[in-house]
Parts: sequence; C-alpha cells; structure tokens
Amino acid sequence: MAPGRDALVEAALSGNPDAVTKLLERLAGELLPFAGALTAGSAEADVLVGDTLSRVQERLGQLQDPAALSAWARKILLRRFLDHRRWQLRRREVRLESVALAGAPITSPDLIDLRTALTALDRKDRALIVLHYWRGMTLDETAAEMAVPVGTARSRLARILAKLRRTLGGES
Amino acid sequence: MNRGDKLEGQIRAVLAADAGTRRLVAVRTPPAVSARLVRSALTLGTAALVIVGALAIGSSVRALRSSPVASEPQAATQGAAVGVCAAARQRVLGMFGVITRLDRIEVKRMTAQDLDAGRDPLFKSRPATPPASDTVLCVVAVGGEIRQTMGLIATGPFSWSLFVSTAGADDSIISTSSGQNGTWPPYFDALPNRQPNPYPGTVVEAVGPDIFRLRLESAMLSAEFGNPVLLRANRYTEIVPTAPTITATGVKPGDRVEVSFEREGRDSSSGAYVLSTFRIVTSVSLMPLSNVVPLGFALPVACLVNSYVRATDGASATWTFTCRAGVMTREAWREQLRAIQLQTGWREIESQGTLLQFAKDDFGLTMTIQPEPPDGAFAVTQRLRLGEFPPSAVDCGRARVDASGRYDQALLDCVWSSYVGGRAARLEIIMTTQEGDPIPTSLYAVPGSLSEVTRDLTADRFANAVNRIVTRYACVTLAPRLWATDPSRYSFELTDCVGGPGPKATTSFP
Repeated sequence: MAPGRDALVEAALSGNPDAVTKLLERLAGELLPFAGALTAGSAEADVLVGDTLSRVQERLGQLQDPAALSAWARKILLRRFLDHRRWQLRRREVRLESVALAGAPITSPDLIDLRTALTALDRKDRALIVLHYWRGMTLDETAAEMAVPVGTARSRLARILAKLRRTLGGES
Repeated sequence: MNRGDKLEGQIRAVLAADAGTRRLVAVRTPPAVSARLVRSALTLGTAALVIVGALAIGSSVRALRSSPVASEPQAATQGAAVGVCAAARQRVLGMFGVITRLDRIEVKRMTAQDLDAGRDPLFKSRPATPPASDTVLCVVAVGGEIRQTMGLIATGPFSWSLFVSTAGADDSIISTSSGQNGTWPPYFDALPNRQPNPYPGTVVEAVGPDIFRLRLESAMLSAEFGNPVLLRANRYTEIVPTAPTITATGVKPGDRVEVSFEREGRDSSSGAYVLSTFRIVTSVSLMPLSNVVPLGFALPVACLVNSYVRATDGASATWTFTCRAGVMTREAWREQLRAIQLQTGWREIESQGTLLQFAKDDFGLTMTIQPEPPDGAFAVTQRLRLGEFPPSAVDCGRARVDASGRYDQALLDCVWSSYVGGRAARLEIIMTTQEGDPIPTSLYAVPGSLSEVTRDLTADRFANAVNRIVTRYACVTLAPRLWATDPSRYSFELTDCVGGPGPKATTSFP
C-alpha cells in the first residue's frame, strides 16, 4: 500500500461491511466535535452527524479520492447544518447516540453571556465563526468552505463581531 | 491584550467547550437488509399462506397461518425477554423480511376471548381456524416499518402490526393485523396482560440439568398434566433464585416449588411441558447466596434502588446484584439503566458493548453493570465498591464531643454551607459512651445524591457483642434541626435512609 493510504478507507471502498461500520464510527468521532461547536453542544449534533454518515454511506462508492473523505464528510455536515429544514425530510439510516457530558464547562459569567450571544446567531453566522475560530481556517478558506466570496465572509465577520460587542456591552 | 483579541479568545474558548460537550456512545448502522429480504421472501414464498383479512380505510388487515420465520433476531434488539410469550416475541424479532424497521415491541399474554373483546372492530380478523375462547395467546405488538410479504406480492409498509400466536406453541403465528394509522396498535395498550398462575408442587427427581419431575399439589392439575408431570426449562424460563439451570439452583427432591407452564407448550423431543417460571418456595438446600441478591424482573430503577439498599449495609465493600430484564430488550434495559445513572449524577467511565461502568466521585463509588451470563442475555450484575472519600470534597474536620456533650458548631456550619453550595463535605465527630469509649461518627454530605452517616460502635466495650458493629445509613435528604434545649445550636437530621442493621427511615448526626 502506498504511504499515506488509509487501509480502513480502502477496505470500506472495497465493500467490506465491517470496514464500513468502523469507518463510520471513526468519522462519527471526528465529526461530533464539529457538530457540537456548530450546534452549541445540543442534541442536534447527533442528528447532524447521523444524517452526514447516512449520506457518506450512501455515496461512499462514488468517492474519488480516499484522502478527501474527512473533508468531504465535514462539507456534507456543514451543508446540512446550513440548510437544516431541507434535510429534515430525509430519513436517516445511520443513527448516532452520544451523551452530554456532566458538568458545566463554562463557568465565567462573561463566557456564559458570550455563549448565549453566539447561540442567538443565525446558522450562517455561527458556521462562519466556527470555521474561522474553532477550525482555525483563514478567511479565504472559510469563504471557500461556505461557497461565498471572500469579501462577503470578511464583512460578515466584522458585522458579527460588532454585534457581539454590542450585545456584551463592549465598544462597538 | 486588546479588546478584539480578548473577544476572539473568548469565542474560541466557548466553541471549544461546545465542541467537547458531547461524547460519542454508539453509531447505529442499518442491518444488511437486502440479504435478509431475499432469505425471508424465499421462506415465506414457499409457505402455505392463507389471507383472511380485508382492506379498510387507512389500514389493512391480514391474517396468515403457518408462517415460519428466520431463526435469529436483529442484533439491535436481541435477547432479553424472559418467561411466558418470550419465544413468541423472539420469533417476531426474527422476521427480518417483514419488519424492516423496529421502533418498539411489546408482548402480552391473554385469552382469545380477551383479544376478541379488546380488539378494535375495524381490525378484527380471524384465522381460518379460530382458537377456542379460553386458548391462551401471546400477542406481540410492533411499531416501526412492517412490510407484509404475501408470496411475490409486497404490501405496506405499515407502521404497526400485531402478531398473535398460541402461548407455549412454538411453530406458528395464527393471525396478523397491521395498520398505517399512527405508530402503534391503537387498542393494544388497553388489552390485558394476564400472568400465568403458579402451580405449587414437590420436586420428585431431576432428570437432567433443566428437566425434572414434579408432583403437583392440585389433583385436578395432576389429572390433566400427569402425576408426576415432566417439566423442562428453556432459555426463556424465569428461574428464581437466578441460576443458569434448574439443578444449578441447588433444588433437591422434596423441595417445594412453584411453576407455571402453558397447556400448549410441550417440548417435542421429551414431551415435557416447557416452564415459564420456576421458583423455589422452601428448601433446606438453597445455594449459598453470599453477597448475591436476585431481584427477579426488576425494572432498572428498582434494581438500582435495591442495590443501594444492600450496598450501604456496611457489611461488605462489594456486592453483586442480579436483575432480570423481564420483557424489555437487554439493550433497552441497559439504556434505561444508563439514563438513570446519568440523571442521578454518575459519571460514565466506560461504555464498551454491553459493559457499563460509572463513578460517583463525590461518594467514592464505582459501579459496573455487565450482563451475565454472557450468552443468556438476561441477568445484569452490578458491583458497588465503597471507596475513600475524594479530595475534591470539603473536609470540615474532626472533633471530639466534650464532657458537656457539646462540639464545635462551626464544623456543622462548614458542612451545611458546603452542602447548600453544591459541594460534598465530610465531618467526623467522636462521641463517647458513658464509660468513655469512643464512637466515631462520620457524615458524608453529598448534595444531589445520598448522604451517608457511619457510626463505628466496635470500640464500645460494654455493648452487647452483636451491637459492636459499624452501621452505615445512606439518606436522600439532609437538613439542620435546631436543638429544643438550645435553639442557637443544631444537629443534622437525615431522612429517607436505607442501610444500617435494620430498617430505619431517619437518622441524625452527630
């Protein structure tokens, strides 16, 4: 096998059902934090990941570049998050179970307020914030991921930050 | 750091917290349905199907006879039913080609008359040869996606179905009703679930590990079933005390037992009646059940409550509890247990396959829930270990009661302020007997969980030997109670307690 090739992906692509299951489990582990960041840790994260894995399983045979699997799955998840109503009509084949971890990870009043303000953002704004600040993507990469012009992403980010500062009582 | 940097740093912190809020437990992938559909279609296609139902508005009714089904259930819903009608339920679970999605399954035992009276007239259908009104039936209700396959003609899908078979008989489903209105048979919940009557008798001899002869006490039953009657346990038999086989219970000839079985339920090879339940009533030769508490068909919450009761008696650090999942699937039972544990503040350590491990950090407990025996799929064992109090709790100190019977009230203030502030706290006060012997009394106050009072009476030289023990009470509530003689002082009153040498609803500290 060539260096860098993923044996599990190869086995799944060859139709090995155990490999497909393991691959979906691995992807679930990768996608769940992303879904958690997008959905503020709500149970919708499970639905999003389940939807995404259903799609991945359905289209796995069409994957051209095995190395692009994670990025492809992440894009599917992002699309589903941004256009959730459309995808709600689909029946999920893969279901995910996760648990909310006990304890409040955020205890500072400032962060609690910020979390509330971030939760109130619309989905496109939340996705932009997550891609840029949590995924660490540049604005160019973020814009490409969201299929919007870079200028749009930049102006939208500035508007979101200004809105957050206003909401939190800081300078505008 | 400027304001922009600070806000961006805070955004990263919040998103990182949100990203780590959920932890993956399981990914449920669909079964490889296509292969099963083919197998089932072939099986059903060669069966002699008799359709006696009729289409109705918004629903369809079908009845069929002699529909053999696949032998193994879907993995996601496997096992767990015990006792009468469990086999019927299991057969329905194995209908892969018919049930393409299973959301819910329940089974009830009733007479044909019960079913006839309780069934919605819209869905009434009768098999070609209706059973006598006193025939005992197993009625299995399924919600999900059901595709009734009649030879090469596929109908449905339906959102619910009712599969009826004769209780104890293991060869056929005598009628099926299905509908598309709602997600559950609209009349099923109102149908009765009649439990079999236990028949008392005396064990005559063991013929094999799971087969024995019994002399029934009722002359009428003896006349009908034989005297003695040959009985056999199978994988669905509820055995009390819990054991893998009848002989493993330690039952001996002469022991008095209660059994239940169905008239129609006979083992084809031995001719024995197949037991739904087997329970030892009196025996001088029971297996030693040291630290093992069989709890029968306890619901998950009852199992946990009972385990707490036993675990806090102070006599042992480790206890094993055996609960049975009853008519629930093992998976559903396990998930309910897990949900209860998480709701009551247990931290999940491990969730691999069927094994569950939890910790109660502020209480120093760990619990392992593991189905046993591995292939039986019915018993769940829990082990609780009483450990050291964790350093995260507030240590309010240790004090000795003075000659006037007083102690430092500030120590109780420390406990109470921690408790109401949501933190666990511990305090030890050493009381003294009139003779001056120490009675260390400790309190573990745990908000949101059981608080514990332990009294070490072992150093009381003048107490009766049987009273020189360590008592431990685990209590749901803790509250200060003012002294009647000095309202400026208080002690703690703990209520809803379990444990100790005997039943006691309340205790106090110190």
